[in-house]
Amino acid sequence: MLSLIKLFRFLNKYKGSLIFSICLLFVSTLLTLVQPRMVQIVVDEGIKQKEMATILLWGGGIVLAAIFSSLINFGSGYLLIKSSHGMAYDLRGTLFKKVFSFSFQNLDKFRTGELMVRINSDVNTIMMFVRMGFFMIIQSLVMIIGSLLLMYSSDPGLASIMAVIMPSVLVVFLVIATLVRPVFLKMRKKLDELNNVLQENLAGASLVKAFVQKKQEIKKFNVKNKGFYEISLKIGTLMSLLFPLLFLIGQVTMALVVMIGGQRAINALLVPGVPGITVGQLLEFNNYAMMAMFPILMLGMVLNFVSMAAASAERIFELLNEQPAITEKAGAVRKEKLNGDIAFVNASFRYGHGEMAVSDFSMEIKSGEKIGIIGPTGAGKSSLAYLIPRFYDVNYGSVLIDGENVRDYSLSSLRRSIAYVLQESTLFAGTIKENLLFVNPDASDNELWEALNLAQAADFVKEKENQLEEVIGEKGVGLSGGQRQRLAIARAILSNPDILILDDVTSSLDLETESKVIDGIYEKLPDCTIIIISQKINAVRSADRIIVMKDGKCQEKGTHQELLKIKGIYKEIFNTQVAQDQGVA
Amino acid sequence: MSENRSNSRPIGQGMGRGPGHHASFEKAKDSKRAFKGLLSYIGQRKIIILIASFFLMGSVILKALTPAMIGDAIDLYIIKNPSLDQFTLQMSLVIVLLLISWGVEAIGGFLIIRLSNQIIFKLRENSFAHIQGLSMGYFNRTGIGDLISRMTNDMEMIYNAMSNGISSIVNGIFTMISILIAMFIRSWSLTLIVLAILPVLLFLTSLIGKLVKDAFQKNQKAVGALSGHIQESITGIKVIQSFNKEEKTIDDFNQKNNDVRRIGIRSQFLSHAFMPIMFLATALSLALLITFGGVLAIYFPAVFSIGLITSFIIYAQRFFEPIRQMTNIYNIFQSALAGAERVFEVLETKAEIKSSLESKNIKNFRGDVEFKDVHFWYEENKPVLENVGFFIEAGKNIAIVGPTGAGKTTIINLLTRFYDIQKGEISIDGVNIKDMDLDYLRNQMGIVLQEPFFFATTIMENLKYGRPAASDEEVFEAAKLAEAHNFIRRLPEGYNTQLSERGMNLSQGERQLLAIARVILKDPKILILDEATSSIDSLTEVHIQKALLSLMKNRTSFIIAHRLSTIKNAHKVVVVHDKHIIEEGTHQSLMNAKGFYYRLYSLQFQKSEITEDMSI
Ligand SMILES: Nc1ncnc2c1ncn2[C@@H]1O[C@H](COP(=O)(O)OP(=O)(O)OP(=O)(O)O)[C@@H](O)[C@H]1O
Ligand SMILES: Nc1ncnc2c1ncn2[C@@H]1O[C@H](COP(=O)(O)OP(=O)(O)OP(=O)(O)O)[C@@H](O)[C@H]1O
Ligand SMILES: [Mg+2]
Ligand SMILES: [Mg+2]
Repeated sequence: MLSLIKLFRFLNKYKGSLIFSICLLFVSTLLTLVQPRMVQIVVDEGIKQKEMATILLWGGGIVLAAIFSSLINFGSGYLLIKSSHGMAYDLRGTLFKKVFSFSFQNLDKFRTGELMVRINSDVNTIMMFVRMGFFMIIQSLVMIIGSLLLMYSSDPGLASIMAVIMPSVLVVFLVIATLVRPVFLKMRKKLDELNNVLQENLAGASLVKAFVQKKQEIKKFNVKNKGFYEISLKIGTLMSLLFPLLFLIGQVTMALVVMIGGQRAINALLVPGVPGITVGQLLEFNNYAMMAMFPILMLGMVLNFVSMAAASAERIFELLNEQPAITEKAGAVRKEKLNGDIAFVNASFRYGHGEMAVSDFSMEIKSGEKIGIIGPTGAGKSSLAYLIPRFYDVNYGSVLIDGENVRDYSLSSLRRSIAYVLQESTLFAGTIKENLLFVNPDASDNELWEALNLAQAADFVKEKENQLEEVIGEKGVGLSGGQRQRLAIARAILSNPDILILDDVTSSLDLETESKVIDGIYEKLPDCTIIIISQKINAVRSADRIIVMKDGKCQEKGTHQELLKIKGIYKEIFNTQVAQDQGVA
Repeated sequence: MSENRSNSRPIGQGMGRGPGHHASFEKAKDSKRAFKGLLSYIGQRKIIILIASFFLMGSVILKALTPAMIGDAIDLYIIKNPSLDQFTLQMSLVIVLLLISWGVEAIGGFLIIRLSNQIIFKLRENSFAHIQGLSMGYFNRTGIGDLISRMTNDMEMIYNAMSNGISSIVNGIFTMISILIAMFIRSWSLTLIVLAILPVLLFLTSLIGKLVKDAFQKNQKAVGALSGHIQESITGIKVIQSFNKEEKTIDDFNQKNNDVRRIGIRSQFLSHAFMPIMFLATALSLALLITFGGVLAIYFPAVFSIGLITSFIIYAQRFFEPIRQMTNIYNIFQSALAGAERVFEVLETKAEIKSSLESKNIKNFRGDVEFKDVHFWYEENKPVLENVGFFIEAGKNIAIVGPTGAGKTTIINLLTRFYDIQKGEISIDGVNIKDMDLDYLRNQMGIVLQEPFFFATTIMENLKYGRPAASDEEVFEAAKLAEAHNFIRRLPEGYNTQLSERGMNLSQGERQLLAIARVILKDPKILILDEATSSIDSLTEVHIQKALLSLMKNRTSFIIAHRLSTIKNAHKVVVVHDKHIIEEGTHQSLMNAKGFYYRLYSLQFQKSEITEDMSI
């Protein structure tokens, strides 16, 4: 509930429109309120007294009031809709930006589906609340208070009955709402669970098929489906009981009012001298009671909105309150170009509370140097490289670029100049060209082909029917593993980096293609500092220096030839991959 | 209908364009089929709808009676001959009837809600089971986002229409009819006055209704485009951040977000317009009623009593409410029908690849695998494999090598029947795989895919995926063989470590080790490793190699790898290049032949280097 109120700060910008809209709504509601009074006048003073003129006059009055009320209602509705959509627009934008301000560490915490739901449906729930809930709450309050006042002016006795009944009705609603709220929250959770199973099943379709786990998957899904069914049925049952109940309360109240009012009218007729009410007054009362009950019904429905919106607001704040683990400091250094010197000074890093992935690592890399990194699985090669563009921050020590701590740079100057090809190459659905232009929208076709050539990707792109315009699917469906890797490399080259990091992205390439890619890059980008992580001697051997990592530390370093002489890990790897295999046949 | 039917759009939909949110209103035939499909789901339960309608109708009639009774009470017992007892009795009766009508309505409403929930439950269950049977080609064409939106959003639309729609319509129609009847019985002339406004109202609402429908359609499209963009950007957020393209992504987002706002305001405003218009209509009809009714009451007081007019005032107010509700329902039904179309499109998609009807299982499975003159394309007229043939004896292993993009993974896709060949034959122990039971076929195989997938659950559960009944000890054993045990044990929670989405909190090599352990645990007859060790360091690989060698003993194995160390011990090597198998033999014979294979693997290292190294 509190978070919902806190969210209202997103309405600040629309205060003007909102207040104006509420005023208009107030006026329009007042205009609808005078309708019963006019009907009463027609009945009491027109029809009963047989006054034709009065009937016509007030009949016209009713129409006129309705026209005004409708017009004003239009205006008020428009302003409200505009404000609520404006707020949703701002809120979605804020959330999206927030997600993009997250570092990898934050992102590790959330699942894609969760983020999607928050930016999409949770914001929509809030918007619907502002649009409908607000409208309804204000309209109902005005109507309730207004009709109570009008009733009071016509008969204080009856009005006081209403004044007792209506608050008690409200209390009933509040009780109901508190009962329903947790069920709503639970339903959202169940829906999330259902979606997660679905999403994973589809994303891992080939695994499911390969392992013939269809039956298990169906079972897993059906458990979630059943769970959702049960909670949904529960809510449905509650609603089908409670909504008519609200209506019932309204109707019974009305009947009671008429009954009590009628009894007094009869008393007044039968026993002269007893103060009573007229039939017209009774009808008027009946109308007001109906008018007052209707908004109470509305309030009941609003409570639904409130519970849903409160749940959504909580989830939204979970995102908004998440602090990006990596931020720019004030007055961060901005540079168009980096020289490309990198230094690790006693750098240590770990994920959460696990073991050190990089431990006390020190090393200097000169601008334009070509570095190869090789080492056992899980040695911390990727983790080490992540520290350079600040995907993660060191826990101890520091990482320097051009002699300055990476923390002192603005994130954009770092990342603009560093191209990191991630181990899992992600492409977007779209054409090959769109995928490339993504990093450098101004690149000419010539430049595209140059980058593709360098990444040894030009050949297979040319074989595709539409060449650059060939459409590829989600995550690069329609390409072979090695083709995806080469496209990702081409994309990185196209961004004209000062530091280029290839994280094991030649693993699916045959040795010949791999050599061509690497030799080509070395030759065409002499000034660029290049770091190549690989498990293949073939990929690292031509580097100026090769680092052998193990357990987060640098175990050996040197050129290919130097490392072979040391007869350490590198030599061992070499043996398994080259000498032994070829048997120097 | 074949799977190709839904292939009206190319793979993917362009950057950021949402997965399949094109509401397809245009095909009336499809709507009809979707509607019929829904009806078939209601099937046996039609009787429930009848019973529920009966209850709802009862409540409507009871509710319609009450204003008349109140009017009577005022007329008869206050105005004509005042009687406290009679009046009180009549009013108490009204309250009792209201109570009964609540009970009746609640029962009817509950029946409908339960029915809708049951139907959506069944529909979801069937759709999911059906999707499990569809082939990889279908998933790649349709896209995951699109399928998810069919299983969630579209289902929700159908649910809304059923749960609100049915009762609202029954309610609305019966309310209107019963009020109409009640009014007619009391006075046809006053009834006509109340109805006078109706033609104008219907005209106006149908006009706005059309606008609203258009606007909502546009709105759905805009919302779809936006959510597609969000989905894609979040999936690729690490790439976006690594290229510092947050700003561009956010700009694109803002543009789509703005579309949603603009179109959203329009559609909401249009549908909001119903409210004041209905209010206006009610007021007009009330004014007409009062004026004419007043005149009639003055000149024919015997026929048009004040009580009569009073009750008509109440009727008039009630009469228009269901009309307003039903205009709302119209929108809901439109969306539901569009949703049902998309759902039934999935349900009616025939599986391209399925078990043959008289599927033969092999009695004594040996594992001889033969490809005979196999031709295959993913997309028509773009052949990927031509004339591919080879034979591998049971228990032997075969290495498939070749440059990237040659079609190695494709060969595996064919053997597992992820895709079916267009020409030729693939057989195991002499039986065409198309004649085998699909599950049986795949159960014989253990595959490590080029890009391993994991579920966001514990490592233990992921390892047991192929054999849920395996004991923990067996899991440890498999993990040890795959050299995964050591790194798992070092994790803070060991085997109970929770993996994040797709196992991204492990290193790439660690993921591959897990995938190998998973297959070892499955203990398949045919083993398939598609670059299963590409990111694993050579030293670890040597160890796994040993495990794999003992694993491969006596089972047919397919190995795809670029590193020589992985393939040199294979019984047979086939070289795939340019759609064909161009060389075949053992490592030694191929090296000696000095052909393509030789070039692929020997030219990498100068002799000098190797000899120099050897001399050390
Ligand atoms: N789903 C698909 N739809 C259309 N074309 C595809 C699809 N998958 C692969 N291809 C194309 O088929 C060809 C062979 O791809 P395949 O994945 O079999 O190559 P590969 O030999 O495994 O290569 P790599 O070593 O890079 O993994 C490639 O040209 C690729 O673009
Ligand atoms: N996002 C993460 N959250 C938690 N732990 C992680 C995460 N990513 C990696 N790790 C752990 O940190 C260690 C180092 O991982 P890293 O990815 O740097 O290894 P690597 O040398 O790149 O290995 P590979 O060659 O297999 O890619 C591993 O033990 C891994 O399990
Ligand atoms: Mg790595
Ligand atoms: Mg492949």
